[in-house]
Amino acid sequence: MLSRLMKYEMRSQSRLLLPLHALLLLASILGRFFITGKVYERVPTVVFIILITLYLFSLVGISTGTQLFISVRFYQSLFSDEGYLAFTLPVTPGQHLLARTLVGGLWALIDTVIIFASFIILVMVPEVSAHWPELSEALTKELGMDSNAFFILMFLLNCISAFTGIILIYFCIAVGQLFSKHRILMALLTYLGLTALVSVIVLLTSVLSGTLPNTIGFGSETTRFFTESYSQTEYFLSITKNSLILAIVQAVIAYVITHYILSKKINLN
Amino acid sequence: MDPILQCQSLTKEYNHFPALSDFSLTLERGQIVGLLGPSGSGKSTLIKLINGLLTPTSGKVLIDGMAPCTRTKEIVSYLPERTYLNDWMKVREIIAYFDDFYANFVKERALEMLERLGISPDARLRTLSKGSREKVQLILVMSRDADLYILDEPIGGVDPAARQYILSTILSNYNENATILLSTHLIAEIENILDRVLFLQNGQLILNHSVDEIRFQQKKSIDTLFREVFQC
Repeated sequence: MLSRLMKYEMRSQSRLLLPLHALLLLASILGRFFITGKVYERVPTVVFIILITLYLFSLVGISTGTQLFISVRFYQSLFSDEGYLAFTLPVTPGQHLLARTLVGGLWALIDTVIIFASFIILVMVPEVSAHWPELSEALTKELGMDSNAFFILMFLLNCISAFTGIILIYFCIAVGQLFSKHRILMALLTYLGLTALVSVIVLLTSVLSGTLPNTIGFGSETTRFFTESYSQTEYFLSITKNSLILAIVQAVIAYVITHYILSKKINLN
Repeated sequence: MDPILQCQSLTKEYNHFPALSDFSLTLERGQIVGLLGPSGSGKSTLIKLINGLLTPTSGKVLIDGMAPCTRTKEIVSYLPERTYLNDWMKVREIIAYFDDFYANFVKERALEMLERLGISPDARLRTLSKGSREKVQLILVMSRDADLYILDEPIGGVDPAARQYILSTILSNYNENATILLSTHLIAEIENILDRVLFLQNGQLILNHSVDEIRFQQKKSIDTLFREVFQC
């Protein structure tokens, strides 16, 4: 049943997300020709700036749009009229949640990969790739770690956060359903509240553990941050590691609560 | 064998307002039951509770002796008041969907009924009229070999000619061990097919009689009795 649910969910999410991301790749390839063919030399600078701005906006737009669409699909397929079919299928709430988490997370991941690919298509023009070894070496020196390893690490982090992000959104939508009125508004407020709460927790733990720079400065890591022996990358990685652990813990708790709501607290309008 | 449906002191409140209160009912197999009552009497609430779309405030619903779960969803075929299908899907895709999820769905029966109604399986739901969409939904629901059919206002939104077709569809696809629970406010149209009627008022069951009892003992039609009971 899980694979069948995933098949239909994939189909309905791909209806919009597939053409949207194909369009981005196409635009990136056109952009590459624009750069390699030195078309920008023949157009006014202002046009070039507008194109770059449009490109950056479209990246943000597509990324936000993807998350929004996945959220809307979760809401629609379970809590709108479609929910009348979903919840009368011989499928457990756990299967519903897992299917949507895997498909939504996968699309969030595809979105990250395609945005990354689009960036490479545009930036890795022959002029840049010819000098890549030197660039990579300079980056490695600057970062204090192998630049390729750094990029791979960043990519893996994005993969994990694609899933944890989707799980948190599902959680907020499910919490919104506990209210009898204004359920979408309540989902939004839950999201804002959760974000604020997590920020406070991060801030407090950072202050207490002394990983926050420019604090009172009693933490050993803060002191080390300003010394030569402790590179900015190491500092960055330690922050990243902490926030990754936090994101995973948050996602596990959110998933369990969402599962509970879907199993025990369903009240469709 | 357990009764097909049991409600034990079932209560559902919305913001402390009871939509259904202390409702108890047992339905045996092999009958067509009319669930009747004015709007706001709790018909839809009861139907949603049986289908697990609402969580009861207190009390229990048992279908074939089980609380709503995947096993009960396999044997209950539910037609809601609203359109629950994705309108971008083709009729053929929706049939494949039902075939994928319900083991007791009989695809051939659905295709045959569609053909008789002149609805093309390749039509997208969005392009069909409201009446045709409702018919597609009814065909899907009645193409399942279920033990309990729950039909919420199946003839509410369609014209009289279509009503006749829908009622004959229900009757011809219903096996004698199955139970149909049918809610409607168009009593005169359906009273000939009913075996039993339930009257609901303010979330409570005020009458549960066989149609024969009403006809022979009280010498009234269901429609007349309904008008008397729910006189404004």
